[in-house]
This record gives sequence, C-alpha cells and structure tokens, in this order.
Amino acid sequence: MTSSDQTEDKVELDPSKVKLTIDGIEVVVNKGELLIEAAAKAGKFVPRFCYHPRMEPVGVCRMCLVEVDSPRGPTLQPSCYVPADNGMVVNTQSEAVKKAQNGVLEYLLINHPLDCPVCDKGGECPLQDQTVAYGPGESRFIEEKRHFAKPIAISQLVELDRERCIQCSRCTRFSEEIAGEAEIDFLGRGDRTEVAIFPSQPFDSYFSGNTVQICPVGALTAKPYRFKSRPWDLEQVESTCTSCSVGCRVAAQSSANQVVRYLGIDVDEINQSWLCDRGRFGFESIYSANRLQAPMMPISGNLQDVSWPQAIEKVAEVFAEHQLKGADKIGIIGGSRLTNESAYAYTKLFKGLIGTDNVDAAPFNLGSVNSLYGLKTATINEVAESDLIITIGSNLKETAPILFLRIRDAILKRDSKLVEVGPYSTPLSEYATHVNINFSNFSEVISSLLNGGNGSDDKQITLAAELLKSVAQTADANVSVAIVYSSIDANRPLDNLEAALSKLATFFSPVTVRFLPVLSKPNAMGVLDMGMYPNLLPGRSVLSSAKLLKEVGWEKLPTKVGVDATNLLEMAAASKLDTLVLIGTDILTDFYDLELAEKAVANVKNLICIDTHINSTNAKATCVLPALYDAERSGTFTNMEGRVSKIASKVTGPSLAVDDWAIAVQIADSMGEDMGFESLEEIQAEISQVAPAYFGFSKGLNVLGESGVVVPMGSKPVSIERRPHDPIEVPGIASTNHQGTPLYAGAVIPSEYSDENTFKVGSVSMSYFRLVDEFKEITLESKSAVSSGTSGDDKNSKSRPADQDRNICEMVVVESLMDDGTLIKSAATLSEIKTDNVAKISPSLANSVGCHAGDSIKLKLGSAEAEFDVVVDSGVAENTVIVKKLDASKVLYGSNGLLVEVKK
Amino acid sequence: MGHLSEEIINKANILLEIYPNKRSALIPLCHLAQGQDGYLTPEAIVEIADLVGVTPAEVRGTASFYDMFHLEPVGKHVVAMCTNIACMLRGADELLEHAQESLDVGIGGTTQDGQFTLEEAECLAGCNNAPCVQVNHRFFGPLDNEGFDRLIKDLRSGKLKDEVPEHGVLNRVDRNYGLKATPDQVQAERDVMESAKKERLAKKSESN
Ligand code: SF4
Ligand code: SF4
Ligand code: FES
Ligand code: FES
Repeated sequence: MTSSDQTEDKVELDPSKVKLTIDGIEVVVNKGELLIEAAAKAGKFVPRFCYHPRMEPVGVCRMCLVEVDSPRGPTLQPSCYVPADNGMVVNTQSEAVKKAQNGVLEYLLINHPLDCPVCDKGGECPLQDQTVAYGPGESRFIEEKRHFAKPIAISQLVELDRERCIQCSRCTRFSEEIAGEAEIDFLGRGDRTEVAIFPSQPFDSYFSGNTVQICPVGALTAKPYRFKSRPWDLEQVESTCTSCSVGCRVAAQSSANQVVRYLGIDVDEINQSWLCDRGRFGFESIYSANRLQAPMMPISGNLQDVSWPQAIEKVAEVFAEHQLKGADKIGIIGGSRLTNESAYAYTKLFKGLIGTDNVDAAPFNLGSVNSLYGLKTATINEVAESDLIITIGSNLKETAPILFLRIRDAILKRDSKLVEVGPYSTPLSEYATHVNINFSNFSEVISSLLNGGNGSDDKQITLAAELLKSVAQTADANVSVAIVYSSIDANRPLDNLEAALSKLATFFSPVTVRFLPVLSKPNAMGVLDMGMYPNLLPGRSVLSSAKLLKEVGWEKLPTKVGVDATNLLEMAAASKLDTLVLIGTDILTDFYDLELAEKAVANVKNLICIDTHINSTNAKATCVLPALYDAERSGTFTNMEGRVSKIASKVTGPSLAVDDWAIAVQIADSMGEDMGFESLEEIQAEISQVAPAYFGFSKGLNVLGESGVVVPMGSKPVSIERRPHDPIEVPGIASTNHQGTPLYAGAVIPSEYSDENTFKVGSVSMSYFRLVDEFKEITLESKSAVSSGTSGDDKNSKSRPADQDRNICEMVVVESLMDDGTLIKSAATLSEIKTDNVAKISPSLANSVGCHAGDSIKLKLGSAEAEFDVVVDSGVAENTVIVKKLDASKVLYGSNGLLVEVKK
Repeated sequence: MGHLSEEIINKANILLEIYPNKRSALIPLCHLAQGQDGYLTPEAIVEIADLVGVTPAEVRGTASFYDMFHLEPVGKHVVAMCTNIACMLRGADELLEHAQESLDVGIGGTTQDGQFTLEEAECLAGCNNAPCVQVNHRFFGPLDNEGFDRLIKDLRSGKLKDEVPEHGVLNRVDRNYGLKATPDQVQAERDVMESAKKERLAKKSESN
C-alpha cells in the first residue's frame, strides 16, 4: 500500500477531514478550515489584509481572492471566507487571480497617501510588501486623493491617520469581538469611511495597543513608538511580559540599544498574540529618570552614590553578623519582580548561607500557600475548555487582562457557563451569574451556593446554585469545571478561601475540577516556588525536606519556621529586628498598613534595598543596590499556571546596575562564602537538580522554547499543534512558525518524587506533586502569623455594622491595571493616563446615604478622610464600598480596621 | 432625567420588544431621536447605545452610513431635492439651482434663520411627481420654481404645520400607527415559527 492510499483511507474514515486540491497539490485539512489556511498547508501564501487568524473572517478587503472550480466553471472567491470541502479544486495563481489582486491593490492605492518615507510602518508594511509582490507598477489615478487631518489622537496612547486606513476593519473587529468594547467603529461610507471614536469617549481600552499591532498599514500608531525607529533597524528577542502573573509572550524590540516596542506573540497556550497596554507600553519605565544608576549609601545624612565594593562590603558585613548570631534578627520582604534564578540565589543566600527563614516575597493577599499548592492546577487552556468556569475574587480584567480575554472568548465561542463570585460587577458579569461577596459574607455565600441557594433570599445565589448543581450532577464524563480564584482585595487574603475551595472540589466530585490562582504580583509563583516564603524551599518543598539542598551547599538551613512580612514589620517597629532587606517593594506606599510600615522603617537599624527605581522607601535606606530590569536581564518566569518561560535580555542597563543573582553571588563572596554558581546556566542546572517541582525544567525549556514548560513536568511526549501566526504581522519572529511536532519534555523525575502523590480535599482524591501533609504545617504557621497581623480587621469585619444611621461599611480595596505603582508612574506615556478615583456602592447604600452616580462621597476611617466619585453598582454587596488601590485611597489604610464611614 | 422624552422612550421600548435582538432596533430608534431633535445629538446617541446595548461609537458609526440621519444640527425643515434620472429629465438640476439662490444657501447648508436645510437626494421613489422634493420626509411635487417658492413661503408661515411636522418622523417607525404589533402578538408569531422549524427538522431527520 502506498502512503497516498493510506491517506485516502484515513480521509474516508475520518469525517472531520476533507481532501482538496490547491494549485495541483492535494491536501488533507480539517473540515471547515478556511481555504486561506488550507493553502498555507499546501505551501501557498495567499495575500490578505482583513483576515486575522485569531478573529472571525469577514471577507471585506478582497485581497485573498482565489479561483475555485464550480459547476459554473472557476469563480473568484475570498479564500479567507470559504471553508474547505471535499474535492474542491482551488487555484491561487491563475491569470484571473492575478488580475484581481492587481485590481484590488490599485483600488486601495487610489486614496492611500505616498507617506512611506515618513510612515512608521514603512519597511514592515503589508500594503507595501503585497503591492510589490502582487500589485500594479503604476497607478492610473491622477485626480486628487482624499484628505483628512493627519494624525489625530484617539486616546492617550494611540494616534490615527485616517488617510492611510484601508478599511480592513481589523481594529474595529478586534475591539468588538476580542476586547468586547467597541470604542471605535467605522464612520461614514464609501471613500469617506473613517475609523472613529465617539467624540466624548476616547479609545481607552486596556487592549488598544493590539489594534496598532494588527493594523496592516500605518494608520494606527502608538505614541511610545512613533518615529522612534525604522523596522530595518530593529533587533528583537522573544521574552516574557513581567507585568502580571499571566506571563504573556512578547517580542522585545530595540533600536540602538534602546527598547522601543513590545509586540505580542501568538502562543496558543497563553496570550494568542494579544497583550494588554500595561504589558505592551510598560517598558518605558526602563528609561525613567527614577532609574537607580549606582549603589547608594547615606553620607552625612544624604543618600549618595558609592562604589560597588563599598556597598557590598557594608552589606556583607551586616549579613555576616547575622550569620554568626541572630539569624532571626534579619528579615527579607519582597521579590516578585525577580527572575526564578535570582530568587533562587537570594533564597540560597538567606536561607542556605545566613540561616534565616524570615523571607516573604509578600504577595500580601495570598493567605496560605496551601491554597496555591494544595490543589489540582489548571492551565489557562484548560480553563478555556471547561464547561463551567467559576471566578472567585478579583476583576480579571484588572488583575490578569489576558486571562480575562481568554475566558470571555471561551464563553462566547465555546458557550462555557460562568459564575462570578466577586465584590463588584465586571465586564464579565454580563455573561455570568454574578454573586456579590465581601469579606464578612464570603463563607456564607459559598455555603448557600453549595446548598442549592438555601438560606439566601438573593436571587443570583439561587440561580448560580442551580447551575452548580446541574453541573455537579451531570452524568457526562467529559464535563469539567475550572475555578479561577484570588482574594477580592489587593491587600488582604480572603479568610476562608482555602476551605471554600476544598468544599467546591468536594461538591463537584467526581466531575473534574481544576484550580487556577490569580496572583497579584508578577512572578509571585516563581519566587514562591524558589522558596521565598516562610517554611518554603525551592521546588515547592519545605524546611523539613531539605536533603537535596544540603548537597549543593545550603549549609545553614534554618530549623525554625520564620515569620511573614506583617510580623517582620511589627518586629522592626518594636526595634526587635536589626536588618530589613527589601527587594523591589516600596512598603511605604504599597503595604496595606502604612503606619506600621513607617514605624518599621524608622526603627530598623539596617534598611537594605535592592531596587530598580528610586522610591519613597529606598530613599530612607542605609544601602541601596541597583538591579537590572526588564529587557536587560535573562532568566525564567513562572506564571500563575506554573508555566516556566524565558525572559531574555535585549539591551544593556544602566552601567552600574547588576542582575540580582549576581548581586547575591557578590555579597556571598564578600562574606567568604561560595554560592556554587557563577552563571545563569549554572543556577538553572542547580535548580533542575535540587528543586523537586523543577526537576529537569531547563532541559524542557530548551526543547519547548516558546510556550515554556508547566512544572512539574511529566516525562510523557507533549504534542503541540501551533496555529500559524498572522504572517503579515510582526515579521521575523521565527519561533512562532514552529508547527506540530511531538516533543518530549525530557524530565527525568527521581522515583521518590515521580509517582504523583494522591491526597484528599474533602472526599475527593487529587494528585499533585508534593506531600500535602508537609504543607499542613505551613498552613498552621502562616495562618497564625497572618491572623495575628490582621486580627483587628477580622474582628471588625465580622461584626455587622450596628449603627445604621452612620452608614458604616466594609471597605474592599481592589487592584486596577493602570494603578499608580512604580511601573506605571515611571512609564512616560502610561503615567499620563488619568485614573478615575471612584467608590462603588450598592443601590441600597446609595439610597441611604442619599447620593447618585456621579456625586462625590467621603469615606472616613479614624481621623483619615478621602473623597471619591460614586458609582452605583448592583454587583456590590450591601454595606460594602469598593475603592481602587491608588494613592488617593491609601490614606485610609491602617491597622485600625476596614470599617469606614460613608458620608455625603 | 434623560435626554429623550418619556414619549419617545415608551415608543422605543415597544420597538425593542419586537426584535429578537435588541441591536436590530438601532435604526428605528435613531429615527425617533431624530424626530425629537432634528438630528442625532450626542446625548441621544449615548442613550440609544444604552437602550440597545452597544457603544455610542457603534451607534454613531451605523447612523453615519445613512444619508437620512444627521449628525449635526439641521434646520427646522430638511428639504431633500431629488436629482436622479426622472427628476433630472424634468428639470431637477435647474430647480436645485433656483432653490440655492432663493434660500441663499449651498447644498448641505442651513439658512441663517435656522428654518431650512437644503439637500440633494437620490431617487426618492416619487418619480411620478418629478421633479420631486421631500420636506421632513413628506412629499411635494411636481414643482417648478414658483411652486418651490410658494412651498417655502407656506412652510415659513406655518400654513403646512399639520402636514409637515417639525423634524418629521417616519411613519413606519412610529408603532402607534403603521404596523403596530403588541409583544403578545410578536411572541405568538415567534412561537409559530419555532414550532414550524421543529416540524421541519423532525421531518428532515425522519427522511434521513
Ligand atoms: S502604511 Fe505602508 S504603504 Fe502606507 S504610507 Fe505607511 S508604509 Fe507606506
Ligand atoms: S485603521 Fe488599520 S486596522 Fe483599522 S480599518 Fe484602517 S487599516 Fe484596518
Ligand atoms: S477578504 Fe480575505 S483577506 Fe480580506
Ligand atoms: S428620480 Fe426623483 S424621485 Fe425617483
């Protein structure tokens, strides 16, 4: 039997495949696949403008016409719109096709200006390229072209040159179909058609940058990149965005050693070519005037530049003292900006060489790490393929924008059901059954959800409960549930989150339930995986299981579990801590209890800050060390799924800034210790060897480059069928062309770790990588630590407000994407975007306060008072007020509770 | 309170009921709003967007496709003069020239007193009365120069007040006349369609 016979048999057997002929080449493709994609499989490129592989086809530009045989003879049909079918005969190169392409281009060029020399797109422009390849050499049009005022700003970030627009509708479709907010649309008709915003509403979508990336001409340009470079001067590396815990894949592009642009890469598992604007334009913070240029120490009261040897000497001296005696008098807070390798290096320095366990990477609203490691994790793709998605906690559009897009897509295209358990209405609410929660009613709400809505007069709860029940009782073995969870608050954990999650798992059993945590800091997962938390050690292991580490020089491993950030600051405030090391955290503006942070900073003897930017905390340091930043450093990043992907350096940083792991190595060296590695590769090799969940990860990473590896890896083959990247966009990102070969993750997991341990959550058996019993200890430890820090809050939030006249409410401080943290503040363009300072309240509260949407109200806590604009939202629980974590609301943070008074 | 009058909101709600998909009511709602203000004010657009569940940019974009919607203020009377073939053969071009002179306004312009906006239109389907003119969607024709001047005079003096309502509304979007259907009737019709579809499908699967 020949191989073609085999294919034939298969086609007949497999009804999901069809066979057709394209330019004389027989191809077998999925039924319903578009001709333009089928042609690509036959090795034929069909020119196109409007078609984008990640959006529904519309067939408006007519550039992709091909000839398809029909009973009436060959006819011209748009290949981006016609699905492949059995027996089709397609010609992409005929005379008629060429004439059509020629004609379409001549038409497009009638009104297209001759801007190429001054157009940012020139050199990477699909219109230029396809005109050269398929177009007319000359235009017959001698009349006047249409004119529009040149470029108009349609938002703080995006400028629109309407003369260059070819009306492909990629941008308008993106806004409606993908982002779900059609802030731009076509205006007018015929040759006067233009893309337009509604005059009083700018294009302020969080996803606006994507339209710039997919515009096939220079009509949409982004301010940060305008006139910065020519495409042929660009160099690029593939890297990972480190702005949130999704970890989108990006191409970081530079010109003359300066980062000028980030583009999204089409990685099926993660961002599918999209980026949010924070990730796309945040790179400008690399060039902020606030960048730390050199090590600094106070000299006669003022921070001044010092040399590296001076600074290291000083730090090493302090650390050496703690190493000798008093390892419990030093504490380390922060680190989520680190790469995994740097986090490993610091953990080794602090836990392995100095011997303190007081390390807390401080994702302040995490609660216990058990809610992170104790559950069967979902990948983003698994969430998107679930039949029921439950989101608990934050507004994903603010905390994990691309995950928001993926879930929205799943609901619309896959008809997944969504139950949203959150503190206020989000853009997903319109597709969801939204259930209101706050700190005090959370457990109650979960219980009634699982009791068929019993004991609740909230209609939403009843609806959601029914949905949950119907899924739990399904007999269909293919049904799966995904639970995406986080705290509702930027600063505080939800008390009973862990219990709620295990109840949910039990409730659905035996239906498959998977969990995806949404962490509020970028590499929080990675740095926790590297052990930057009390009791944790690299690879999701704990202090009591340090056997492997001892073999690679972790000699002074602590025996006692350390304390977390809140307790460290309390110790510092009471002058019981000598040294506080802050890694990339500005506690004086970021910590939820600002009073405590202030006292701690004032009373600690040594304050050592390792940072990229000057901030209010490190201005008071006894020593500041400048570190390298995004696009300047290499390493790996672990996202919320546990997916490890590469961060690559593209440019050199400030000449005296050093990569974090190298700072750790130098300090150790100066202390007379040997870290045992001197390069990134050596660190990765060590992690691969001693960090259980990361066994073999570096090898896997080298094979599965672009989408990274999810740890812990199995040793089974992983088959990847990659969707083609939009071929007319982002030319030259080679790795995204990778197609469909099965690969081996390549991890060899020692037997003591390899069989996945099963454990029970409620009555459900689940499996994950580590022994859960060991984590139980942490739960207890950290629970007590956390609650001692926030016990005041607990008391307050539990007791229902008694004094109704005074409208005492629970305050929930939520995260927002465009906040006023260091990244946004130091990025030139993003920092100009105005953040609206709103307080969201329920209709009933609005009633009793006597205010309407748009009014302003005052929130009062102790002596502090702040003013907000009112938004009335029926998705907010009664007696709750939602404010954003912004400078304006920070005056209200404090140890004295979360019950605020709402006044007109 | 909102920008659109209560009466219009009531009519809008009836319209929203009769479409399976809210956004299908966009065009009729634009007509209603234009009937109130003469043109689609930004305030009206925002309210319509809210009613049909799309963005204001989409409402404005959609309305901008149609010549009959105005996105900028117009006079009390919108005079649309056909210059398509039948009217052209019967002297529409000359009439248009005359109109420009006598109103002292260019095509697309509004007279200083805010009374008239002059427009050139394609076939208005009034060819039997060529050359023909529409004022606030009401037909007049055939017209010669004198006839046109007389029409303008009568409009100015208010003599045609009843015949030509200010900022005329299209009859067919006004469900109190025309094709009024109650929500019940609509639902009943939909049910019939649904069951017919089911039957068809059942037959189809039988024959398979
Ligand atoms: S969009 Fe392309 S073809 Fe148009 S001016 Fe810019 S570079 Fe030239
Ligand atoms: S602006 Fe660009 S993406 Fe949008 S329609 Fe015009 S050419 Fe297409
Ligand atoms: S019509 Fe097919 S790519 Fe535009
Ligand atoms: S041509 Fe004037 S109304 Fe038809």
